[in-house]
Amino acid sequence: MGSEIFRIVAFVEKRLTSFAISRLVMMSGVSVRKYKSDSADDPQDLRKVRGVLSSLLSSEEVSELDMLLRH
Amino acid sequence: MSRLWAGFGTSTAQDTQEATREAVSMASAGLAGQKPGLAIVTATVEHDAEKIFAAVSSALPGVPIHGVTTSLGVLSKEGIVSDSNGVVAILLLAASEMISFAVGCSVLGDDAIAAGRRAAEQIAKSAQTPPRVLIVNGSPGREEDVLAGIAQVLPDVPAFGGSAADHAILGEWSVFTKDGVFRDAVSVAAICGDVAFSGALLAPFVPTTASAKVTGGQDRKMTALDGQPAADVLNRWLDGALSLQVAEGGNILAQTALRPLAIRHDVGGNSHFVTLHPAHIHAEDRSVDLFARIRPGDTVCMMSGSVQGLTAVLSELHAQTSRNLPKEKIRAAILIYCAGCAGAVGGSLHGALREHLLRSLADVPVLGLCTFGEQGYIPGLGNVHQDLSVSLLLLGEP
Repeated sequence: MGSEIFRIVAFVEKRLTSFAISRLVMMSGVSVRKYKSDSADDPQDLRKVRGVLSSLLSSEEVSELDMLLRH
Repeated sequence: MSRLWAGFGTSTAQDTQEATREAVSMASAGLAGQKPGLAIVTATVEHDAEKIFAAVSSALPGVPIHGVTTSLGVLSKEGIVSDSNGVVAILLLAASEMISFAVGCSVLGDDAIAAGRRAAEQIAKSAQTPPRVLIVNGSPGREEDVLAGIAQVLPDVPAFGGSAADHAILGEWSVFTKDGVFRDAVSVAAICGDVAFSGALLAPFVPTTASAKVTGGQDRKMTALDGQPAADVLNRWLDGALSLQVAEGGNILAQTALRPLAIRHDVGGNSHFVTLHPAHIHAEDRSVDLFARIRPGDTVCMMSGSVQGLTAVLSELHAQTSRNLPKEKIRAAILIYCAGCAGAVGGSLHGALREHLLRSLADVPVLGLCTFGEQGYIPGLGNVHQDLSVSLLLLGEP
């Protein structure tokens, strides 16, 4: 099981820009780029990152991301 | 006749030395062969600030360096410059005749007033002509004291600037000074002599009817409002948006970016609101950390703003500043944009920069930073530190 944070970052960067990743870092307080595809997520960090996604993405994008993360 | 030249460069190259070299090279091209007298440097924290300093020093020997790291990215009139590799940006200034530059710096240490004073004393000692305007950039946390120290030596000299920032608010920021790179310092650059300038600091919020007196806390910690825990009052004003943080503690920057607090000052028949960004709630005592200072007895009010207001402010800033400096005289511009505001505005800031600054400052190099606190000169009030604000400083020829 790879890093969910890494997959979230990849999704946000692809949909938006690297500026959105910087906003994700600022809003969550988590240095998300330290997570690589095979990193183990810190549960606290994952909770913080998930908590701000609705501020960055549309509800459709959040749903799409949720689908991707389930697979 | 006194002349002022400016050049601006950015780079998103992954290698820090290469990025710095590219930014310096691009900026140097705007100087028409003149030797720079000041290098204003910024970068995001993906880059090693020490390496940037070394690369700028090597490329521009003897040129004083000044600046701070920026959050999120670099702002320019062409939009946001941001990349997963990070970004380096440099504004170079050169001058002739009666315009000159002076820089001062100090580690903040235990006494930020003394640090501000020391930086200003270095400027007073080295300036060839009287300082006309100051560019102040330092670590976040004690900006009011730094400004007070500067005022002891250089009273009545307008100052504009912004505080060092990182992305995650983890203290990863840096201050670029003439003496090197520091985590806890202030750098002050003075533009002296015959320079023409115009600056403005705006916080695009309007007061609401919610207000209360600070009955507990001081400096940047507010414990009670009207005798009740400060976090409870703030949460009520924000319709329960902070309930989780009141219960568990935590960061409230996003929730309060469009609804901050402010202290009203009446100056010359006008009101100026010094805006305060509530940053964090401590669950154990339901106190609130702020990014600017309060005193017991202050009346704080809740402000209200919008994303639209945070982008339209760019146009208003340009309108205000260009009233005092004709377009043909403007040679450089420094934009300071609160990182919290930039975070709240999001990607639409890119278009807003282009819409409001690209045409109006078409031939002018513009360096923009996203900062953790903003400083500016308010007529009748002097140099102030506040949050969630945007400033524009235009520099030009007389």
